[in-house]
Amino acid sequence: MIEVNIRKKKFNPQKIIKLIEKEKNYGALVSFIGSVRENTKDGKINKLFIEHYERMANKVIYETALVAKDKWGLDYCYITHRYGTLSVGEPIVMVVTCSKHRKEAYQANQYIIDWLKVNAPFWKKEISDSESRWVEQSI
Amino acid sequence: MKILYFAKVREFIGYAEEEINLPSDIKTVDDVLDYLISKDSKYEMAFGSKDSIHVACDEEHVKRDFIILNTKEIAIFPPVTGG
Repeated sequence: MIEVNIRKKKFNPQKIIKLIEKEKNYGALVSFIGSVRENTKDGKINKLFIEHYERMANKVIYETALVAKDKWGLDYCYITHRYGTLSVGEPIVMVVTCSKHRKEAYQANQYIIDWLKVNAPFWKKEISDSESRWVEQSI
Repeated sequence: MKILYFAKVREFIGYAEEEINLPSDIKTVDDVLDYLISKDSKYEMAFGSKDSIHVACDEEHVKRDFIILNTKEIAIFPPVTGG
C-alpha cells in the first residue's frame, strides 16, 4: 500500500509513526524526516517558503513509491511533503518505508528521497531578515 | 495551449499561467521556448540560458526535442529543490 500526502499544515512525525506501527505487520520500519535548517550556506534564515506543482508532485511521488515498492517488495510506503511557509525546525518531508527486513526498507527509503529531490516539482525559497532567495539545486 | 510557470521563472514573468495560441510550425519544446523568447524580453530574462530551465508536458518531465503534438499543458520551471 502506498500513501502520498501533500499538505500545507504542519505534521507530527511521531504521530504518523505511531499510526503506522499500529498495524503491527512490519518487521522493519525506516523513516526519513527532512526539516527546515536555521543555518544555510548563505546564512541564518527565519522561514522557508515552498512552492509546488501539485498534480505533478502527486504523480511523481506516487510513481517513485510504486517503483520502490516493486523493486524492494515493500509492504507499506508513506510519503508526505509540505508546501507554503514553514518555520525553522519544522518538518518538510517524511518518507516511511516498511518491509519484512531492514535492508529493503533502508534501500527503498533512500531511493525515494533521492529521486524525489531531483524530480518532484517543489521549489524552496529561503527567507531571512534582509532578503529572500530561491534555493539552487544541490544533489 | 496552457503554459504554467513556477518559482523564479514565475516571478520574472509576473504571473503563474497563461493561454497561448502557438503557431502551427511550433513542434517541439525547444520551439515553444524560442517562440516565447521572441515574443517578449521578459521570457528571455526568465529562462536565462535555456539550459537551466526544466520543462514538463502534461505533468511529465521532457527533453527539449519532445514533440508537443498532443500536449495540453506545458510547465516551465527552474531545477526542483524539494525534499
